[in-house]
Amino acid sequence: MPKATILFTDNDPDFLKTRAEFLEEEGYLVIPAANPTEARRKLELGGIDLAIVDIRLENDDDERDTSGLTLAKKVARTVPKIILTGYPAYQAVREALGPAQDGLPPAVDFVAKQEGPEALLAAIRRALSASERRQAGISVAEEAEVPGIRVQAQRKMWPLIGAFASLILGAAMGFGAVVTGNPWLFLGALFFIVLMVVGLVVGTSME
Amino acid sequence: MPINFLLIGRPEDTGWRRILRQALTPLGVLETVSEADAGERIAQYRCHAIVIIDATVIENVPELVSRLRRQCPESRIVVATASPTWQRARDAFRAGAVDYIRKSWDSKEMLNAMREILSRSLSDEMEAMEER
Repeated sequence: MPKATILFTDNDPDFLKTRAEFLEEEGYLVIPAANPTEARRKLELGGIDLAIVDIRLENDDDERDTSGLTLAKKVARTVPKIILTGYPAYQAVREALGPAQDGLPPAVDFVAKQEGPEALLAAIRRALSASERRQAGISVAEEAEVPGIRVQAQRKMWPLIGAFASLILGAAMGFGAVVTGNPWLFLGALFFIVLMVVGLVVGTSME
Repeated sequence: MPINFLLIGRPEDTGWRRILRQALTPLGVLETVSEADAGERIAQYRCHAIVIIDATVIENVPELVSRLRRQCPESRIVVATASPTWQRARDAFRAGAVDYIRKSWDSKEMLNAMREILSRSLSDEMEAMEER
């Protein structure tokens, strides 16, 4: 079973093939996409854990080609994305990692192609680990709450059980006191009735 | 209610600080501390809405950003520099900064940059200010 499914979008087929082979050797399932349309279609199908997106997806020689950033901003916002480029620039980092209007940054990391495959691998591990932590954060909170509720419910139960037992004992002693006329049984019945009231008050007042 | 800005940089009154103060006057109050005093000041005071780090005078910007994020997770941290590079920008974002901007000597430009950051991250506060 692969570690994760990665959509790799790059218009350079040789680079895409080399990096895909490297990542597959590392245990990832790589789904290639050569252009924004193909990437969008595959992202919208679902099942992608992470997307790697080149900035210049249409024309490598065109400085104004930021189709990869546009894709990252608009498509499958919940899928973490790593921007990969052969032309790193400070403004591109700002656009990729600075928040968009909806408060979420288009990408979770930015890697230059010149940094090599190991830097990309490190960024993938960081991104997937952060994504797992985010998902686990919700379930950990949920898990933390369930035992808390259970303990609270158990704590609440004991005074009510005590009140019920006091009711039985108090009723039995009261009946005995009426039948026999024994004042000690009458006092015992009174004691258990008081105990029942205390149990009911404690049990129902617990948050 | 005015927005509280904190500038971490040179303690003395620099030209850029004056421009920044002028730029931020319509939005709120700017306080300045040195890197050494930043932790103590933040501990004394409730967290500032926006913390601006003058990267020109800070030795390890990502470390400071991480520290501030731990201390005040609700503060938005902006790194300002005279000479931006993509690696330093990436390091700042990785550490948790919300923006990495080029220092401008034009107060209008700085005001617009801050307004943009505020509109993205503090839209509710901005709406309330505009209503007043």
